[in-house]
Amino acid sequence: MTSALIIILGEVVEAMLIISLLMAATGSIGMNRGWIVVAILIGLAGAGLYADYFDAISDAFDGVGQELTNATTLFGVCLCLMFFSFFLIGQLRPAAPLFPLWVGIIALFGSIGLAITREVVEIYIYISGYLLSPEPVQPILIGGALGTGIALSMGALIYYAVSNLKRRQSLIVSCIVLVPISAGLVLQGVTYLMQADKLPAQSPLWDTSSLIPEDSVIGELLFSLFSYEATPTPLHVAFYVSTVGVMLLGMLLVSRLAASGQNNSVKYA
Amino acid sequence: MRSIRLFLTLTIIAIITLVNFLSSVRGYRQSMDEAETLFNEQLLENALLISATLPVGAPAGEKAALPPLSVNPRLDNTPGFQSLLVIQVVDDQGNLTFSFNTEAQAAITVLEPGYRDVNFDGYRWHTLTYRDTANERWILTAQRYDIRYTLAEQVVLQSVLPIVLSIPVAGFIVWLLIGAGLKPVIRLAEELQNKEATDLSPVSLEATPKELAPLQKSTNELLSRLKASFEREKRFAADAAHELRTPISVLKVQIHNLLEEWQNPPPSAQQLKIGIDRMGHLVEQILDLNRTSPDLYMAQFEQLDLFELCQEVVSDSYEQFMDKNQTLELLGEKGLIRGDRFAISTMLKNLLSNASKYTPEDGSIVVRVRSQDKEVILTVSDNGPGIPAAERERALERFYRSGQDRNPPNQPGCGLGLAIVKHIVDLHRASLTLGTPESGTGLCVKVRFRKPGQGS
Amino acid sequence: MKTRIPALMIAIIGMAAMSPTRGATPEFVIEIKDHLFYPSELTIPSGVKIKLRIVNNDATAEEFESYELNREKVIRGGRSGTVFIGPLPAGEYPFFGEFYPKTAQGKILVVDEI
Repeated sequence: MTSALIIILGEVVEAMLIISLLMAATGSIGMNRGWIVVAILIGLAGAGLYADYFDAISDAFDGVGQELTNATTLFGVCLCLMFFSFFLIGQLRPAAPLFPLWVGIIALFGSIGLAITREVVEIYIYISGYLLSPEPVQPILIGGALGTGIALSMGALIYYAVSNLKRRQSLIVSCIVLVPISAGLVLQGVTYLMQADKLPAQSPLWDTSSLIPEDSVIGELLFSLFSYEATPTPLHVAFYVSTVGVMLLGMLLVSRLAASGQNNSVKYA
Repeated sequence: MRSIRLFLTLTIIAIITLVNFLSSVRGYRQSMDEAETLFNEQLLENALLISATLPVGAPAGEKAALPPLSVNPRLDNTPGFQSLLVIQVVDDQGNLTFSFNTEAQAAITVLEPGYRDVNFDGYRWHTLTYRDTANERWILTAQRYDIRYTLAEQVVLQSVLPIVLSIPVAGFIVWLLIGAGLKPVIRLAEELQNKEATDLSPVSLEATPKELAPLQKSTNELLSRLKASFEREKRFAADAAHELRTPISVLKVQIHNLLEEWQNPPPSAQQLKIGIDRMGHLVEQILDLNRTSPDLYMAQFEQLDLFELCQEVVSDSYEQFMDKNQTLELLGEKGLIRGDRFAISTMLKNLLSNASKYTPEDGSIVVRVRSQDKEVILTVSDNGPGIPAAERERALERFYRSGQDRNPPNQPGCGLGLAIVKHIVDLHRASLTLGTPESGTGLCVKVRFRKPGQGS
Repeated sequence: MKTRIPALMIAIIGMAAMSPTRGATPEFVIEIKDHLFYPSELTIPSGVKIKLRIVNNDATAEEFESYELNREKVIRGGRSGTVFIGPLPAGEYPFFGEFYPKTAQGKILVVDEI
């Protein structure tokens, strides 16, 4: 049961977190939520494609194709989330959005699509493998139900927490929550690159695994939410900090731009 | 639009799920740890049992010397029990002296006291190495890891399963309960929605809940204030007009007498007469306007032939047209409608007098009644200056008088005619359009009445 | 955004293309059979980067995972995969198969001298 719980929980929470945040944010800027459904469908289609070519991808690049694909996907999700947060900040003044709608739609497709692709492939491989084995199914079903239940509940609570805020607050809160999520995705991507020997392995800077073990439920939740890493190396920290920095600076810049755009339009009005 | 019911149901269920599931995961883990300890104790007990019963130096072949172990009667019936327990006894030289349930020819685990996980015979085993100090030998007991796990899990899952299954049930019940709790809100909303525009009576709910009482109270207060001010307005205009009638009649008589007495009345006296007539007309129109207001008119609907009614009104007001040398044509056929006789003839009078007023001398006016499958259409067209399209909307307002140039200076118009017509049209749920007649100039007023029995 | 995603892809593919050529990396093999790791204890030298090949002989997929090593990799049934490990200080690094954790367990022993 635990394995099913941990796997389903980990994958679904990560996807739910992104989806519920983006859903609340798109709701508060009055964007059509149908786009999210489209993005999820894109993700499912992507997952089907990835699963189909999984073996070929795994064997590519000297057997580290899987790591490179995962890292690319993770960096892609992070980039799309970054642009989506800029898009949201650009919407702070409803009268003068800084970016056209298609920027938001593409960022939405990219982030949700790629995230779903990654999570669904993992679940698909696990479940399809399990169907081949003679083990009893009940523990897996229960574990899966527990994991899905916890993940969906968290998604619902996050969604309502953000969408019950006023428009401005909900935009700012979702952007701020997107920062550690995106940086965490980069962190996971860096680990994959190390595993594939594309980045040098280093000894960890610190070890908090005795405090919060990564295989505990809390550790797993923290991992899904913010890519909790008990033993980060200097490279991990560097990538994390720079992603956070780039996102915060970008948001600041965009909010300045949005404000000055507003002033200009007032002047010429 | 966000639904309170959905919000409450989802968040409540989310919280129930989170709390229950997380605590059952915790419970599961603790129970599994307990089971682990229990199984380890079993391994130890078996080792102690062997150490106490198995004679030293028994050869490896005598497996049958040991009666079948029954660790737990429940497990006897579990498939795979045969391979649950493995026992080996090894002497200090490392020779196997006893072996139960395994074909392994060497010690299955390290000869160092303690519990360990090892792979052999194609499975993963949890092993205990026990030092039998009295007999100077090692007793090794092992249980299959997957069986231990599955057995423990079977038991523990029985306590988790109901929690998982109960969530959908809880969700359904919460949905129903919140629906029941929100009933009064929905009923209040329905009551307000179903109110007729003229119905300003207070809303009442049976057993108003505490939270809705202030809303209901303030809504009812608002309604009663609205009603009072409506009535005040209505009464004031009606009373004022009514009160003005008497002095105006007196004035009319006086000016009549005055003009009779005067041999040669000065022009200003003539002007005075026109002014008084005009005031009289205005007061009559205000009274009509109030009387026909759809908010308060107590209509008495009956089956009417619109064409017949037109004939009556036309013959009554023929003089007006004769004075200006205008031609008046009445065309059409029988058109049955449901309407209030007084209101409809007031409407016709107003339409005709408007047409006559705004059409120059020698002009022509056409009244037509047509009956179509679902409607009876009345059109009154003149060949006067008409009303520009942009102003037609405003023309129906009270005291609107289209571009002052259109109004012949001596006309006793007061700008209420079309407003009265509009009232009566609304009262009959008919539709009113102002347009241009086919001839190209003038005004064409079109009123469409639904035929009786054609929907509400 | 249009230009940056391809740029990132090129960067990653570029990194893949210039695979490290600095000396031969010692290779170790772990096999999976009946959801068990063979060997379940693998001894490797400390301070050296090694290439770990995981061969899955089962029909079902398995995910090699280790929190201590910070590695996770899915290996489909009947296939193999490569994971780079180290250089590591001496110590014990447990790993497990995330899909069948109750049997698929093992550890890597990193020792100073073999």
